[in-house]
Amino acid sequence: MTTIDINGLYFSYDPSHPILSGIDLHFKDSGMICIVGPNGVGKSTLVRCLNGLLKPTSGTISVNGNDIGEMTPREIADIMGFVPATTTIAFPMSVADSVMIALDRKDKWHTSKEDLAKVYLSLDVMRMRDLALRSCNELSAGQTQKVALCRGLVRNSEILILDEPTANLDIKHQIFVSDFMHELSMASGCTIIMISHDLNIAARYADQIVVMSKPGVIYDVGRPEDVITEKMIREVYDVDAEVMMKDGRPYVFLNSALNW
Amino acid sequence: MNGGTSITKQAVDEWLHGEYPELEEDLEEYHRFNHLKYIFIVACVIVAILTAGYALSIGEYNISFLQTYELLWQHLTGSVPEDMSIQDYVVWTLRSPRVLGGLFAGAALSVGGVMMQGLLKNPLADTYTTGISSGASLGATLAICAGFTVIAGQYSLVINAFLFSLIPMAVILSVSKLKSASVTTIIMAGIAVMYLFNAVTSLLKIWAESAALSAVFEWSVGDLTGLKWEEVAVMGMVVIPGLIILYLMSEKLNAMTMGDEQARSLGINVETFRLVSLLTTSLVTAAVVCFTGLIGFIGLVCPHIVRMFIGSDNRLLLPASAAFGAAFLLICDVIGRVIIAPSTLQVGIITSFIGGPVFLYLIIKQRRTGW
Repeated sequence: MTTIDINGLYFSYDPSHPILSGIDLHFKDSGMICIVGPNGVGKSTLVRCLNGLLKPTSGTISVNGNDIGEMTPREIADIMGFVPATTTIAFPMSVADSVMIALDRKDKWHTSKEDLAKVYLSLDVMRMRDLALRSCNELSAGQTQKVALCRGLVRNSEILILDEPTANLDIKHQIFVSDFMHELSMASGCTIIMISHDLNIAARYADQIVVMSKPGVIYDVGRPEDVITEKMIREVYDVDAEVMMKDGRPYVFLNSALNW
Repeated sequence: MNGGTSITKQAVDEWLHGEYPELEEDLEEYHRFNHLKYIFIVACVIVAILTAGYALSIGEYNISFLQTYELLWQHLTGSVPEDMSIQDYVVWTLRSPRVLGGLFAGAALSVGGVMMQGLLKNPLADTYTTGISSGASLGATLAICAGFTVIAGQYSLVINAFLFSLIPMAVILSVSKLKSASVTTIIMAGIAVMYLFNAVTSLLKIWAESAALSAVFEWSVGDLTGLKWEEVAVMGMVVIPGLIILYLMSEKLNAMTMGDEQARSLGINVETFRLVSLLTTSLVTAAVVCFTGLIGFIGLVCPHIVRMFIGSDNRLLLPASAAFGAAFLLICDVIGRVIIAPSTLQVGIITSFIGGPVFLYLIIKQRRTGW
């Protein structure tokens, strides 16, 4: 059972410009959680605080009852995987080796058959197996993003945080990756936390949606059909949209921006 | 409720059950791909050993290539024949320190370059980026021009160079305590200290006598001439454990090359790792530089040349760079000894003379667009 408790979370680089202003969130075996919201509302900051990459100004975050602030990077990495929006490898290595970096191996100096199989399996799942021995700097942005997802997958984490994992992917891969993560959370019981700008992807695949708005606050949390509404899109995004239901899930038709 | 498509269900099933039909073939292909990298490392080691043998054989007293190995073996096992004592003296006492010192220096500077480039995520970083060269230069210049030494005696210049070469690193560590030890902080602090030290060095040179100026220049070029066993022993006592420590860090260095955030999310304490590895690299480099002077090129370019052949997995790159750097430095020293024999050219000049064009050729020839 995975529980995530965020209480009174504040974060700012400059006290006069808070990025997160009192976030309270509680999840228990929530499957796939999508965080949505306009640019600059603190979505990435929130997941970085959750993963211990940023230290909150105040407030607490605990996972399974353990305070993240008291945990070492190693302990956090044992339960949480993180796939950033962009990754640049300073000196590119082969795709397979770059995925192997993320593997949590018992023997760091010997690549066992099981380790290698796991790496290749993740590449196979993301349809990147043919490029396993290719250098990372020869990949497209979309392929690079899929390799980053492979790095997230191979750790088999209890919680996997994905920061805009579909940003560089074509529509087929956007659907596949989102669907895969949703299916994985159902089949393995892991919790997926995914930031997305695509409301329809979030509406279609998330079990829970967190809507964030300025100035770094939670606007709403709940099931997609309860959260994705025309009112929410107007108030949070300043966009006129129509929301219809399809297969029990909301579907958003965007009309126009209300202000610029 | 949304249901996954058959394709994604199959993919999840495949992932959770851990196999797919062509897995064995793929694993074999990966191992074949990696075997070539091991062959490169072994080839570099063999070249280094052969060059060492040749380096021991050349000089005013002629000893055959194969005889050098025999003499080394006889010396180590205490079975040198009486009629070979002169050859033994030439090989063991006169030439071996220079050759072993060259191997240590080449390996240390090359591995130092790998570490600095990986830690600072900067292809232009080398062992001198944290200001070691400017510190060592100031230490040596103070000893030669101003007669200022930390301790008196035979090794006053060496100890001056060693201690001063570590001052920039100490400043960087102090600045990192105040600010976060980010890549930019480290590079900028290194540059600030470097300019300050260079200014003092220039000032001392302006005031210096011509003989002292010439001595400072000779020291700064970098040379293996005149290395003694006791110096090489000290060098080895720092370099060998240092290189072992750095090798043990190579697996984490892989994660560091993906950026601080990614490395931290993989469980690495980024700041601590960076400071410990920088300190170790600085100590190893300082232990070489204080005896040999400034040997350029090795730390900057050898890692790049090795990357062209075996890629950037630091678990292989570190030992490969050590072997390549050692072989390369020794080859350059041999060339410096024979090209205008009986005079010699300093190895620091040869490394840049040969390395520069070779590196340019490889840059033009390589298929890939980046590192």
